[in-house]
Amino acid sequence: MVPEPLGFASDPPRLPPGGAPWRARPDEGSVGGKPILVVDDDPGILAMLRDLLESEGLIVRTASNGEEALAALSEMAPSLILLDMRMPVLDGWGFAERYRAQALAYPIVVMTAAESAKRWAEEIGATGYIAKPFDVNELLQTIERHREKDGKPN
Amino acid sequence: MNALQLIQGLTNTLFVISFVLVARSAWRQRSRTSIDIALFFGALAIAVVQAPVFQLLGIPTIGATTAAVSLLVMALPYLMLRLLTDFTAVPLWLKTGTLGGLIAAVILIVALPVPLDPAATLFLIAYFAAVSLFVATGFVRLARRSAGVTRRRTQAVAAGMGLLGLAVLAAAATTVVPSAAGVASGVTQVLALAAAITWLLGFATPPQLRRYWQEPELRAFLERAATLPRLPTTDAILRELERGVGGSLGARAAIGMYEAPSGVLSFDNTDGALPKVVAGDSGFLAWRVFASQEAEFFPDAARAHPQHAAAYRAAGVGPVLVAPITAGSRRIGVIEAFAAHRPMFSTDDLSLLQLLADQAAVILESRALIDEAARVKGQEEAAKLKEDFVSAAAHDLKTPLTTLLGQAQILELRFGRDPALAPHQPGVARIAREARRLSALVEDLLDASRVEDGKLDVRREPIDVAQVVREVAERSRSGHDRIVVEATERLAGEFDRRRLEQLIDNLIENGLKYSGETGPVQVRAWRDGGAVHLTVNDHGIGIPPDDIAGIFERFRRASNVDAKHYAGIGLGLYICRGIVEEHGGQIWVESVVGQGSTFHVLLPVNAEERPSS
Repeated sequence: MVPEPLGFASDPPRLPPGGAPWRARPDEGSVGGKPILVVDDDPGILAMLRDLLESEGLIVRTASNGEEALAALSEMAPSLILLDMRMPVLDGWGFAERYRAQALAYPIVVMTAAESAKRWAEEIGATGYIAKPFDVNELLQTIERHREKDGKPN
Repeated sequence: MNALQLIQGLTNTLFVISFVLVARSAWRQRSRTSIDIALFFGALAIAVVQAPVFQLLGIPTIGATTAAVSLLVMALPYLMLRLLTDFTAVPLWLKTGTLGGLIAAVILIVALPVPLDPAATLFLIAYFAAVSLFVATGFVRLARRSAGVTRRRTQAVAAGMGLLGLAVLAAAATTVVPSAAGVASGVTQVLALAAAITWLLGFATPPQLRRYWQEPELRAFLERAATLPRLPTTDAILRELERGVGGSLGARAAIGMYEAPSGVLSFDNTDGALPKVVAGDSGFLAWRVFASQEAEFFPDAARAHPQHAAAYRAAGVGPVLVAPITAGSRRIGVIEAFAAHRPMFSTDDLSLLQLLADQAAVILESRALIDEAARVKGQEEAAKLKEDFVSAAAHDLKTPLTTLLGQAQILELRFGRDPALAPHQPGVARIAREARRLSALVEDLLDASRVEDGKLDVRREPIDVAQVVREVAERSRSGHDRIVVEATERLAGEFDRRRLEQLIDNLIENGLKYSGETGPVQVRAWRDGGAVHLTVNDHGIGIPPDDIAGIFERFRRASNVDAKHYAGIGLGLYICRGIVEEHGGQIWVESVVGQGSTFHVLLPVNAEERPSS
């Protein structure tokens, strides 16, 4: 796979007509390893993503706002952060600010239902973005593209 | 030359100057009034100039000249009365009496030998003084009816008449008490000088004094003017302008606004005295001035516009002043001032009216700009509200859709890998739940649209509100452990159960949403007379005072609600209000920013249904 250094060079791939075949499988080496931190205030989305990512053999941690995410980061080193932007208590922007202040640099993929997903991702200096609702293949590809593997940023 | 001679010389000079000035203005603007004024001063001037001129030329004063001068002087009372009749009604007997007095004076002067015997002299003096003083009081009344410069000029004229009458009485004293002749003639001279000065000021007002006299009205008008463009409506501004202009001129005033599409001048406030709508071809005075853009004075409306004469007379409209209201090249309308009686010195009023009309133009133009700015701002706000709504609605719809799509694809994936595997129960449940949530959202959008159209259907059935409150709190999806319910007594009434649940759920969810993760939300319901009173109280962010009035409007969210923080499309409270109003009830909120909000709902138990509109 050709890495995209910025993540914004092109729009994310669209769902092919007729639905996507179940295809993308993370390489076996990545099973287990560092967890993915999923941050979203919607319990339905959190549960669905946990279900999806765990069945792909990934370790999942969840947080329902920026504050919880920061707390989780104090005791773990994720390979990727999937970040919703509109959240109570501490939103995506607030989270990013404090995250940068702590000199943390895990890859972040912004995941939002707003039309301005790309702009918001640029605003907080995220690695990539994905707009809700997404095709799960697309999400898995995006995660695969951006997550740290073997301790090196991709 | 002694002091008396000096005063007399000065008085005479002033009379001559006054004559020159009024004669000039009569020449420029020939009207009955200006000619009457010129005649009056002409007689005075000749009377006072004759003796020195004859003396200078060495012409001996013969009896005939003295008689002629005496006749001129005795004509003065009649000329004064004539001037008064130009402006106000004078009883016929007085007119006849004055004319009779004049004829008697002529006969006395011509027939009797000089010097006149004292009785004749006294008669002449009494006649002169009586008419002068009557005319003076007539002008005082006239002054009271007018305003501004006109009033002050009329007062000056009245003072002149009165002073002349007094001067004549003082002169009489020389005849009656010869021993006091010296003092009396001094008094006479001083009074005559005072009369000369006041007349000069009144009849031939110097421009500086005219401006000085104009200032108080203009200043009062301008002080009001600054605040006028901020009045709530253009109509309110027009009424204030009419009041101000009327006050300044001592007349009634009406503003006609030009309406471009129909090409008419439209008046709102003419008291039926003038036509309400004036079209271009009608020959109405207002239109003539609007077309010419030149302020004009019409001494008699009926004569100026004979086709409408009967209406003018019936409404008691005599003289009319009209000035155009024009800002730059934009013709805004006209202002008309009209009265039953003609004021003096209408030309002064005309220049004041034009000044006021120019101010009115500035005020109305500012108002038009303010209106235009508000209109543009309103359009922008409406567009932004709609845009915000569409993006918020899309966001809210996409959230359950994300779970739905994701979870469905997971099922698909698992089925593809192992068709024999039983479906993962929590995933299936999630699909059902999110689908319901999506459906509820769509229902909200439709409800908002129904409230907008007044078509929110209410199906009443006997229910217990307290029980509904407890059930809704129990079912709350985002944190029923934070909800404190105080609703124990049975609160029976006929309400739409589903709508009531929707109402209570909305208020509770709002309370939970806006009070962070932990704040409690208290729900109370009790019987309050013939109604059920329900409150939902939170300790959340509160609503800023400026937003409270609009909080129940569609798409409206308080200004302290960061849309990035709190998902929502601003429909919940709008729907709540719709539900409450369909039940004939009331909803309101008390709130302190940073401390929380309490929403109150008052639902009459036996309400008449709101008449559908």
